Order: sequence, then C-alpha cells, then structure tokens
Amino acid sequence: MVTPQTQKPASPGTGGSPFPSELDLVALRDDLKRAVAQTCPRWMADRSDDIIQVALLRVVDIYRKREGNAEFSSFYLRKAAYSAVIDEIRRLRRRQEVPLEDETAETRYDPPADGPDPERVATSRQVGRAIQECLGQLVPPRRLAVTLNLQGHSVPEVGRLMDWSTKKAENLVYRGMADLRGCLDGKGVVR
Amino acid sequence: MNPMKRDDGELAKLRRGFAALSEETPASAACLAPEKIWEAVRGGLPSAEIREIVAHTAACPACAEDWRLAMAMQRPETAKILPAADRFSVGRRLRNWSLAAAAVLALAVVGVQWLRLSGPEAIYREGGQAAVHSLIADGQSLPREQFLLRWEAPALAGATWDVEVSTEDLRVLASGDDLREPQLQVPAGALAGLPAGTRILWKVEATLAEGGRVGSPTFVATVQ
Repeated sequence: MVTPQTQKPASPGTGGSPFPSELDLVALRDDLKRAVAQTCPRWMADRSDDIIQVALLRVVDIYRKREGNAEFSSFYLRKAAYSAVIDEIRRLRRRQEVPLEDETAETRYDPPADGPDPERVATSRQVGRAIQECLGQLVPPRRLAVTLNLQGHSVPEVGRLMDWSTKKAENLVYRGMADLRGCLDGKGVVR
Repeated sequence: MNPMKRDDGELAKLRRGFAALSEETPASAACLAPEKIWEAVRGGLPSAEIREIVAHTAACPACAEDWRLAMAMQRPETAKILPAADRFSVGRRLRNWSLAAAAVLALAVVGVQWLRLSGPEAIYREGGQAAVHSLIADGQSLPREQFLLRWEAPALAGATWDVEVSTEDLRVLASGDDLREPQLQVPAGALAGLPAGTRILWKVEATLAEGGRVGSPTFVATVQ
C-alpha cells in the first residue's frame, strides 16, 4: 500500500510522486483517521486505513487536475476527503449486503473479535429503532431539534443550523426530548 | 428538574442508540450527496434546505452517520490550533519563507503578508480589510497565559477564520484554521522565551459562507 508520508514530494503533474509537496497529507490523514475512528461503526474499523487511503488519493487527483494552480484551504481539502470517505463507506456498505453464505464474496460482514459486548450492541440497536419510530411521531420542529441533539449538537448550534433563536431552539429541544422520553417509555424501552 | 440536564448518561445512551442503527442499515439510493451533508453541517445552505436534510437524517441512519462524520471533521479540534512548528505544511512554510524575503526587501515593513496564489477558491473582496476589526487595542499588552486575540466582522456573518500569529522577524508562533469563533488563544508555550514587550503581529482571513475570502490588516499586540 502506498503511504503518503513515505513518498518523496514532487510537483503536481510532473509524473513523479502522486503526492504534491504543497498538500499537507500527513495532517489531513491524521484528521481523517481521528474523524473516522470517532464516527464509523466497528465493522469498518479494520478497513479504515483503506478508506482513508482512497480518500487521500482522490484529493491528490483533484489537486493534480487543477495542475496545482488552485489554493486549497485545509477546509476545502477536508471537504474533498470527506466526500471520498463517504463514497468509500457507501461502497463498502453495498458490498456488505452480499449474503454471508456466499463464500466467493470478496467482502463479508466480519466484526472484529474484540468488539463491544454483543448484548450491549443489541440493546443499543433496539433503543435506536425505538428512537427512530418515536422521531417519526414528533411534530416536525421538535423532530428536527431532537435529531440534532441526538447527533451531538449543542442548543446554540441547533439554533444556528435551523435559523432559530437560542431560546426557541432550547424550547424545542427541551419539549422534543420530553416527547421522545414519553414515547420510549410507552414502548417499554429502558433508558 | 430540567430533563435536558437531568442525566447526561441517559442522553449518551440515547445518542449511542441512535448511532447504532447505522451499523445495520446500508446506504440507499435515496441517500444524500455527501457534499450536501457537509454544507448543511457547516451551515452553508439555506435553513429550509438544512431542515430537509436533517429531517432525512432522522429517518436514514446511513445519512445520519454521514452527518456525524462531517461534524467530527469540522470540529475545531480537527481544525487544529497548535504551535505552528508542529503543523505547518510544506506549502505554508514556503509561503512564509517568501514572506520573509519580501519583508527584508521592503526594509522591515511591518506586517505579516500572506502570499496567496490566485485560483478558483481564492476570491478576495475589494476593500475587505476594513470589514475586519481587532477587539484588541493596537499594541495592547496581553498576559502570556491569556493571550487571547479577538476580532469582529459584523458584515461577514457565517465566515470561518484562518489566523496567523508571528513575531516581527516573521517567526510564526501559532495559527488557527477554519475557526468558527472570531478569536484565537495563543498557547503560553508559544510565547515562552519572548522578552516582555515583544511585539506580536497577527492577521486573520475570512472564508465567506458564500465563497471568497477577506483578509484583515496586520494587527499588533504586545507580550506582557
């Protein structure tokens, strides 16, 4: 596997290394690794290096197509890398759908042996399914507020994203979470 | 009791449950383009469109996961604020060397200049410098442990910020990329060893929500 850090830098489009010296690929790779590790499910853990590698190659490709003339902010690079990571994850997910009994399949669902407690995983999924059903029952503004809260956004962030005042966002998160809890209780979900 | 605060552990469990669904749900043809999700997380789309996307993520675990990944990649800790020596790309270092040479030729003209190559991503607004104001008085003395640089730009709502902080001999002390808040705390360690009264130059550059960039003038603060 090609490792960006070990490549000798070369100017884009010169036919040398595919990694132009102007791109801080090591930092970008670190950012990607951190984000993917924080976010992606465990079945993807052993493939994260490949995902990141594909993303970095895509970024380099974009860079070279512009013949190095464009100034890339780190934010732009992260966006390009993000898109590549998502594409790769979706591709892997599609392949994950291959039936387990098909021995010729290139990729199968194969969770790592040292993954989290299966019982806890099953419980989380059960809670997740109940949450999804309950979200569908909330009035739309509360559904949006609760969804963002469950995704990890703070109340001010919810307000900023939804174009609500912080007060309104707080209100909707507060009431929406109360509705969610009531719905989960009604389903007998232990919280 | 406030149900939002009554149990952080409970909220964490709910979040785990919501996230766990993505493990068993493949992406579908209905999934959103990653660029859309990225821009929505960034707040770079009209709010009506962001609402549609959030509504979709409520019912689509795969896109919800994509949203979380975008969040993780756009967090300030990902857009690191570290002493510059630890993180500057080769390109930026080269840019700084160019700056140093230019500064010598200009016979110690005060200021950190950012040499940027023109390109489709770099669109500068005319007269943009006047839009960015330092909230630190010119030459103000700041304590090393609280060397907080702040600025404002009321006309540039939604912008993210790149900052570069250097000494007068253009040694870069710290920088921040893609900051959402108009402030940067310079680590005390970056200022260690500088004599009291050392003048610190700093300059910010906005990346506008609608595209394009606006740079500030060079500001000056002093180490206490």
